This record gives sequence, C-alpha cells and structure tokens, in this order.
Amino acid sequence: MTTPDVYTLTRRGLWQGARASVPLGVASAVLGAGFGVAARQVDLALWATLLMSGSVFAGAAQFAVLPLWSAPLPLAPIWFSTFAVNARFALLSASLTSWLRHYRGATPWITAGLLGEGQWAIAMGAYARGERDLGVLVGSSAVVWLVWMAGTATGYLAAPSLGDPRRFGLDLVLVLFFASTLTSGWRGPRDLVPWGAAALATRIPASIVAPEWQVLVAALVGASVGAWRDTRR
Amino acid sequence: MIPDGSSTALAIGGMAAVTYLARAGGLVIARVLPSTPFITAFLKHLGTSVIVALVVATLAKGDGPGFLAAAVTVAIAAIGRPTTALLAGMAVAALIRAL
Repeated sequence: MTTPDVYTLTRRGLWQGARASVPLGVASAVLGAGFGVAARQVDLALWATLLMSGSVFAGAAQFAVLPLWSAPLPLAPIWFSTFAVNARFALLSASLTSWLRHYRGATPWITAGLLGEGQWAIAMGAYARGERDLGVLVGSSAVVWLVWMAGTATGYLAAPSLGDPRRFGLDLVLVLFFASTLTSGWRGPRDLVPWGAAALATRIPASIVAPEWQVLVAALVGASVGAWRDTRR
Repeated sequence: MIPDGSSTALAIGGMAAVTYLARAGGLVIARVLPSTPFITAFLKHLGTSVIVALVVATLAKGDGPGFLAAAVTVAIAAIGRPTTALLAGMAVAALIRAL
C-alpha cells in the first residue's frame, strides 16, 4: 500500500472480509448451534433465543445468563453479568479508535456495535498489512452475525437429535479459533511479556476478581504491562 | 417456571443495551484519553491481551484436553494453515476424550 492514509469502506472490502471469515464463520455457526441447544434446555422460546442471539451477539454472555432464566427473571443479575462479561468489547473498540475515527456519522457506532474477537483479529490483520478499508471489518461481522443466527436456529430446532457436542471437540471450536488468531497478532518474542502477564492475570483468585470480570481485568493487566515495557527508558 | 413474554423481552432488551454500551463505550473512552506514549502503546496491546485472556480463562475452566488442543492449533496456524489448525485442534480434543 503506497497511500496508507486513504480510509475507505468499499464493496470490495466487504467481500474480502466475508471471504476471510470462513473459518471464523464455521466456528461461530457451531457455537451458535451449541447456544441454541442450551437455550432450548432452559425452555427459552425460539423467538427469544433468536432475539437474544441477534441483539446481544456475544456467546460467552449469552451462555452465562441461561442458568438464571426462570420466573421471576432476576433482571439486575442478568444485566450485570452480561455487562461484566462483555465489558471486554470496550477494549476491542478502544484499540480500533485510531482507525474508526476517520469515518463520519454513524459508521463507527454501527461498526463498533458488531464487534467480536474474531472479526477484530481479521480486521487487525488487514490493518497491519497497511489496508484501511473498513469494509473488511463490517463484512466479516455481517458474515459472523448471519451464521451465528443460522447456527442458533439450527441448534434450537435440531436439539433433540444432536448428541453430545463435546465428543467431537465442538465445544472448543471458537476458543481454538481465537487461539489461532494469535499467530497473526504475534509481533515477535517481545509480545511474550504482555501476553504472559494477561495469561497469568486470569489466575487471580475469584475472591479478588469475580469470574465475570476475569477476562477484562487480565486484558487490562496485559496491556498495561506491555505499555509499561514499551515506554520505560 | 417459564418467564412470560414481556419480561423475557425486557431482560433481552437490557442485555442488548448494556452490550452495546460496552462495544461503543471503548470509542468514547479512547477519544477522551490523552494520547501519551503510554496510552498509545496500551491501546496497541489491548486487543491481543483480550484474546490471550479469553483463551486462557476459557481453557482453564474446561477439562484437560483444551490446552493441548490449543497448542496444536497454534502450532499449525503458525505455519499458515488456519482451517487445518482448527480441525486438528478439535480432533486432538475429541481423541483425548475418547481414550
């Protein structure tokens, strides 16, 4: 890229993002199906299951609230748990700000509203190559949303006929995908310091950091340690 | 008991709202932060730190084969085969559980 400062959002970018999302899409569809199965087990209605997958669009938080799902619904714990588990998204959107601030109007706010780790990793891969087409992120998010919805519906409807997903390692599919994205985020052995700090910080006992906040706190520790290392003289 | 439709819709609406708040909140926070060298470096490390933390926390909660499956996945992804890496990782987990 010879002109790295032209920020665009093109149809070509959308398509590129969509195509780059095939492995991620497969992983999301499988996890979506897992969510559909789990939602049916707690007697969540099909419309409510689809509404949740479509509007919340965050697997970890959706799984986390299912055990709370019986009348009368404990609204405050449901919302608090959702916020705590999803607060890590603020870190992803914060890290995208140097890119998103070049777009006007609703674009950054809609794009941020569709964020997830997988799309973030795909978009940052493109950004690192010097590409500045936000279509990659939007296209990837759109694909993930669609297959997440299709997976949710399929899992819900097919739940009675599906066996134990653990038998095929399917429960691990998304976390393994996230692990694989780390190879493209790897900038060299220097990354071992922030990454090791983040990994260690997930081991902080639950009596100090509640499980819902575990990922957020560990990520903040990792980024702080990395920034401290980068800026100290 | 199964919750009625309106309280279900209310609960899900609230979940969507707080999740959007989190997703968009990062943009607001990053805009008001001063752009010191520390903050710039901090933002650069944030995303990968989230993924490392999420992977380690999720695997630590699960049963044994997760970490080995992840190690196999990362090793194969490192040589540029992301889809093979994913399938191999799942196969390792399935195999260990079947033993």
